[in-house]
Amino acid sequence: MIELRKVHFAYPGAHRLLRGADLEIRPGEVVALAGPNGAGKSTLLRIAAGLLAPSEGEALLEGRPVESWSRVARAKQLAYVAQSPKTPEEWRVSEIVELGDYPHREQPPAPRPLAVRLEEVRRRLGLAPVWERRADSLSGGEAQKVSLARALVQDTRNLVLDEPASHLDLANQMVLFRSLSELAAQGRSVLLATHDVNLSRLFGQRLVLLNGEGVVKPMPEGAEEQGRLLRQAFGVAFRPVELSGTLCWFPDPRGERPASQTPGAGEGEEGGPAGPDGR
Amino acid sequence: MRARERWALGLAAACAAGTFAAAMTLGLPETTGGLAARILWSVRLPEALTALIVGGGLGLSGLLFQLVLRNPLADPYVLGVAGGSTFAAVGATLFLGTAAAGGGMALRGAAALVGGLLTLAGLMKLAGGKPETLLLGGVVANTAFAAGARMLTVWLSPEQLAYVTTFLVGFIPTPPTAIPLLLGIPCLYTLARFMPRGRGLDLLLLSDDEARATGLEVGRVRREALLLATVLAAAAVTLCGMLGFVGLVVPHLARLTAGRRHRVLVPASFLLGAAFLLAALTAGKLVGGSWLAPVGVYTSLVGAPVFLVLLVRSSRRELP
Repeated sequence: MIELRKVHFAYPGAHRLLRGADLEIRPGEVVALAGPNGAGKSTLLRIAAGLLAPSEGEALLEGRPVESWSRVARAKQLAYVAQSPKTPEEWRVSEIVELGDYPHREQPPAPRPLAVRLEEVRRRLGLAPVWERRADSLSGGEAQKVSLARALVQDTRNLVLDEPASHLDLANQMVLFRSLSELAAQGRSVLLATHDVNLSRLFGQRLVLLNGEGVVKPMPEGAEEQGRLLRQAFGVAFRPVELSGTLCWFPDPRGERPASQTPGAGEGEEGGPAGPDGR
Repeated sequence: MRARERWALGLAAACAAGTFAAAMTLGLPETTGGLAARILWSVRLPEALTALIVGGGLGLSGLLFQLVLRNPLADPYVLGVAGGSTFAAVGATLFLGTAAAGGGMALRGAAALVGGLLTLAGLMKLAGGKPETLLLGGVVANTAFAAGARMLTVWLSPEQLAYVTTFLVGFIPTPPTAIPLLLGIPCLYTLARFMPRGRGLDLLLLSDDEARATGLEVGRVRREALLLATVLAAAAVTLCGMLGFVGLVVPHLARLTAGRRHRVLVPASFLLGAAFLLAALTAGKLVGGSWLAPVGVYTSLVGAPVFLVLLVRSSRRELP
């Protein structure tokens, strides 16, 4: 379980990025965090993973302050994939994925043998065709899956993934989000950053938004409120389309252009949902 | 350990043992009256031990620098660490003489270590974590330190000048056997420290955040590796001066033969570094005949083309 309580954060010399962000990811839950560029999604994820200390507030892992865990003990509880993960160039995929076993070399050993975990991620993420290939021959999407596989081999109860689908094709995005739901169903807590406000909700996952105010807002129930929140966060009009009983939102190219590129542009404007005509 | 890795390590050990035996025995004069035995034990053994320890240490030092700085061109010489050590050691020679043993030697070693550490610390502060700046700064520092060391030669006695000239090219001295054995301690410590923790070194190839999230104390491991790499380079400089290309080429040869995992790369770099310098020592004796060029000439003559071949091989993988 991951909890963020009243988290504030500012990089030196920059404006305050997070201003009292609250978020809780319970076991069995996948939470997708969306928001405009520069809103602080990666920062929030790094704080949740214990890689960055908040200026104020606290991050808890399994009920304990995340910084109170030893590095190895924490790595047995939480795995993290960066927004731009590095795959050592001349290494084979199998060797890179195996690096995820590092924390389990210290006592107590992992509950499941390494070979079982390796086979499971290979199958789950469809890595068999590239398993013995060198990392420098992989496409961006394949490399992203390899980094995810390395994190899954850590076999942790908590996963923090920074834009894990950014380089994946549509079919692999489906595989990823389905896998995350399956992993959550086994009792894991999953927090991911995404730019897709629909896919996670189509898989029944919770979407929250981080806007220019530096606070986390849950996706509301009503269509009108959803449209207003999205417009406030991204500064563009959205058009709703219902898919499989889920209201999906797409930026309306006929809507007004964003006022500026800064996070939270359009904030305070009269939002309202984009109606059927996109207005 | 995988079969290929076992074979590669076995091969590297055989190379080191073979070149050690060659350095000990090849070209030994056939004399009577125990002269050959005296040469063997009093000259060849300390020479070969020095080459083994210094070559191995430079191989290890280069591997650690290349890993920590994530740059395949990093080595103690390119980074200016050896230049700083050399300048300090030449300065120490000016005041303390050319002794290859005793207090003078210890003080020269201490000066080389301090010089190397200060250079590395200064460059790292200047570069602020940018590898390109660090490397360029290292090249500049090396040139400046070499010029500074040559400038110091103005005040040297003829004996000191001869010593420093050889020192700047790199040579294998004939110190008492205890000296290379003493300098073997940091090598053994590095091997003992990093061989069982090879997987931790592997994680340094990931992004810092991912390595930390996988359980590695990134800052501590990186600091320790840099410190040991500098100590090894300073130890090499103290004894043998500026031996170029060993720390640069050997880790690449180790990766070519032993693969990528540091559990194997660490001992392979030590063994291949030792073999490289022992081979250069022996080649110098066989090729040079009565003209014994400093061994640094041979490491550079062999190291430069080998490195160019490796560079061309890697660049051919990418289209221009």
